[in-house]
Order: sequence, then C-alpha cells, then structure tokens
Amino acid sequence: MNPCFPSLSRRQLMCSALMAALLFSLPATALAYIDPGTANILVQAVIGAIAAAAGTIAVFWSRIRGLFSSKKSDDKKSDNNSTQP
Amino acid sequence: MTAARRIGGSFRDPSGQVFENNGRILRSVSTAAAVKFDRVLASGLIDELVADGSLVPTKKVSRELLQAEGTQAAYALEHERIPFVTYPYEWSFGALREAALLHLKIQERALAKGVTLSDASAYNVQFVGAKPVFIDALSFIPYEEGMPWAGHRQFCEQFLNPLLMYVWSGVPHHALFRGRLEGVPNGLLLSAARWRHKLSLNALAHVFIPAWSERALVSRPERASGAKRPTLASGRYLAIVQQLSRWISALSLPTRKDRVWTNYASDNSYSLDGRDLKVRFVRDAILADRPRSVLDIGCNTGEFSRLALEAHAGMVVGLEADPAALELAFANAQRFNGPFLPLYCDTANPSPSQGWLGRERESLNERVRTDFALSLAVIHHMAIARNLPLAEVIEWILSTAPAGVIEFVGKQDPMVKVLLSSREDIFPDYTREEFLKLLEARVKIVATAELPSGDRTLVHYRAR
Repeated sequence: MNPCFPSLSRRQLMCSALMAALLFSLPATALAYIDPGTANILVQAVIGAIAAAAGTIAVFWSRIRGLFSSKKSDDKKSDNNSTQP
Repeated sequence: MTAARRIGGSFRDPSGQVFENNGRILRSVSTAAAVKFDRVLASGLIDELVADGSLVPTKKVSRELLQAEGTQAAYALEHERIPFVTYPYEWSFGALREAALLHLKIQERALAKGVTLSDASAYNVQFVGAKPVFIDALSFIPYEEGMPWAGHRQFCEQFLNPLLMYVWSGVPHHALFRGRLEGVPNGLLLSAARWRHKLSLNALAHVFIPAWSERALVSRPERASGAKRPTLASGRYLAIVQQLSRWISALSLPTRKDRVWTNYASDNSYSLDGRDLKVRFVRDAILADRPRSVLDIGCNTGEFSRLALEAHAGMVVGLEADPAALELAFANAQRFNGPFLPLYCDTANPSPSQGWLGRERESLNERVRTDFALSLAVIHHMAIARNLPLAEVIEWILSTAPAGVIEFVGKQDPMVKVLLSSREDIFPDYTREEFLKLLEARVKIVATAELPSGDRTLVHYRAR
C-alpha cells in the first residue's frame, strides 16, 4: 500500500506516472476503424485508480478544512460568549 | 387520427425510437430491450427519478399507440412533452454544466440501484426553464459487476471537453459543438491545454490518459480486439463519476467586464422615465394577451423575460448572441420564480436543421412555436449591423409568434448613431415610417408608444 495514494497499488502508481510522463508531448489522432469509446474503456482501470486516489485526497482535504473551520467557528462562539454581559 | 411520426435524432438506437402521435411523445421498446428495461423498472429507479424531477415523466402504454410503427415493439413508453426542445450548442456554459452534473447524479443513483446508462449523449438532457431533465429512459440498462463505463468518451466529448475548452481557452462551445454534433474531441481540447493543466489529476485521468490511449490504439489497433474484455470494479466506476462531479461543479468562467451587453440594462440611451414607460408597455401587452409562452429575442440578462413571467407568461425562452450576457441570463434564470431558458442564438444565423440527412436536429425556426415575441431593441442590430433587409427582419420576427411587442430604434437614437459612426449609411429605408408601414401591411397594430428620450418606438401587434 502506498502511503501517499492509499487506494493505488505500487504497480498502478508506476503505470500512471509513466503514462503521465509520456503524455506531455502527445497530440491526439482521429480513430478511423476502431470504435472511439474503446480508447477510454481500455484505460478505465487506470482512470478509476486515479479517481479513487483523487477521492481519497478530496476527503482528506475536506477533513483538514473542516478541522480549521470548526476551530474558527468555535473561536467565534467563544468570542461571542465573551462579549455577553 | 394522423400516423405516428418518427422524431429525428432517435433513429440510431436499436432499443427503441421516438414518435409523435397527435401531440403525444411515444417511445417504442423493442422486444430485446424490454427484457432489460423491465429489470430497470423493477429496481424502482425510474419512479424515483421521475418523482424528484430528474427524469421526464414516463409511463408504460400500449404499443397500439405507435400504430404501424409499433408492430415490432414489445410495448411503448409515453413521455411528458418537453415545452421547448433545445440542443447543447444552444446552451450557456452554466446550462451545459448543469446538464453534465445531472447526468453524473443520475449515473451515481443508478449504480446504487444496480442500473447504469448505456451512453452519455448530451442530447438526452433537455431543459424545462433552467432545470435540466433527463429524457431517454431506454438508455438505462441493468448493471453487472465489472462493467466498464461505456459512455465515458461520449461524456467527455459532449460535456467535459466543451466546458474545459471554454474555461481553458475562453472559446465558447457553441460554434464548435454546432459544427461537430458529437462534441469537442480530445485532439481539439489538447490544443487549448497549457502546462499547468497537465499537472491536474482530474485532467490526467479524463483528458490526457484517454488521449494517450487513443494514440496507442491508432498505432496498434490489434490492442482493441486482443486480450480479454476490460473490467472496472463498481467502486472505481463510482469513483470516476464522483471525481467528474466534483471537478465539473467547481468549473467556472473567469469574470470579464469588457463585454458590451452585460452592462446594457444600466448603460443605454433611454432615461429612467423611458425605462418605466417601456416596462409598463410590455407588462400591459403581456397582461392583455396572456401568452403561455414568450420568446424574448435579444434577451440580454433576462430583465424583460422576468417581467414577462411576473405578468403571468407561462414560460419564456430567451435568445442571446453575447456569451457573457447569456451566462448572466442563465444565472438569473436559476433564481427566477418561473421557467426562463436563455439560449445562445445569433438571430442572423439561428441553429439550422442538421445532422444525418439534415433532419437529425431541427432548426430553431422549426422549434419556435411561441404565443408572444418580445423584440426589444434588436431590429437595428439585424437591419443595420448585419445588413439584413428590414422587411425580412420583420417577417422573421412575425414568424416566431402571432403577437408581440417590437421596439424600433431609429437613426436619431444615440446607440444607432454609434452603430453608423463607423460605417457608411446605406439604409435610406431604415425609418420609423417605413417600419410601421411594413408592420401594418402584415399585422394589426394594437398600441404604440414613443419613448421620451432617444428615438424609440414601441409597438404591440397581433396577427389579423
């Protein structure tokens, strides 16, 4: 299990990184004889792995933000309380 | 009783096609599709989506209603009629984003019920006011564990890529989508991508990796037929849908203040008195005619569309050629207390009939069947800015509805003076008198009013 992307296996992570590196200089070419949807279906396991990683990051990030925002609202509450006579 | 007529655009689907019979919208369900669709119905998904307004009201009816067309069908589905059919190349950015989010929300809810969607066509979403509604009940199919998302590429081309193209490069999707009915291909989007876009996990997953895969397939097509059929775990399927939802709901256009029309309501040639008179005139005309539907030609941000709704018009469809004003109009439409749908339309070049045999997508003129047309300060843009013959402009406006209000802006108006300052005045017949003469020859004039400032005349007319 990878500590940074818990939902990605080491192999999937390596594969994604390699693809990302390859992609930086790629133009797209039209498909003439193959059903266009095939290109996406063939790599959906990789897309799914990245999406799962992105989901984990999103949850993690919202928890961090939640931590700060709840602290802020707590601060506000205590501020309000302190102004009570 | 007239024969059931097949509606263009539904002929590609072997599961069933859409017909119109005496104003009723019917969908045939083939015997093969019925087996699957009965399982979808049993899941309860259809009832649930209809109940919360995500899916157009749909019920099972006898195939007899399809008449001769229905001999091969197991049964038919009847859908509630969409008041005004529109296409993605007419939607604002905001509307396309709402349609994309509806598709994803439906996909997510379907998965929870063991159902999925067989495709991801943007044409399967329609709008009632500013609210998107899904119309293709037959694209729901039972989900089997491991099934990949068959519509991913279509979703990207028809929803994601046009939105990204707009955000990344500032190029609105309307002309691109109208020119290529399947949407914006990856190749075109990649030309708008910058380095910073390549650092996004979202873009990596849904733009760059599919583009790489496409390229790999072109050089080694045997990859498509070889190996075993790719599978996708249901958790990952859901993760893809949720990632796209998060990404698309966060997409927005950069705010630009250099557009002409977004400030039009506060920046025009008439005074507050003139504005009050115009508001009263339009309101009285709509109250008198009580139209069920209004077409607001050159709706700008929807100020007079709202007025029409407040005067109890049943619904308003707006046409606007400026993308920035259109975005504001759609944002307003989401807040209005009534159905208002602003659409992208250059009135000098409205959406044509196009697609297969030129009949797959109907022209705007064929779809417009409104009761009342508001043409406020648009005639000079068509007749002077675009050199269209005044008589033909009037003919076109009159063809959209049997009644309405036209605001004629004469050559002494400051806005028309600006329009003419940079070009030769080749419009000797562009006068108030000529305008009224042309109008009177075709319709009955109910009322007229002169605005106290500028050179503007309001006319309320009805068909004879």
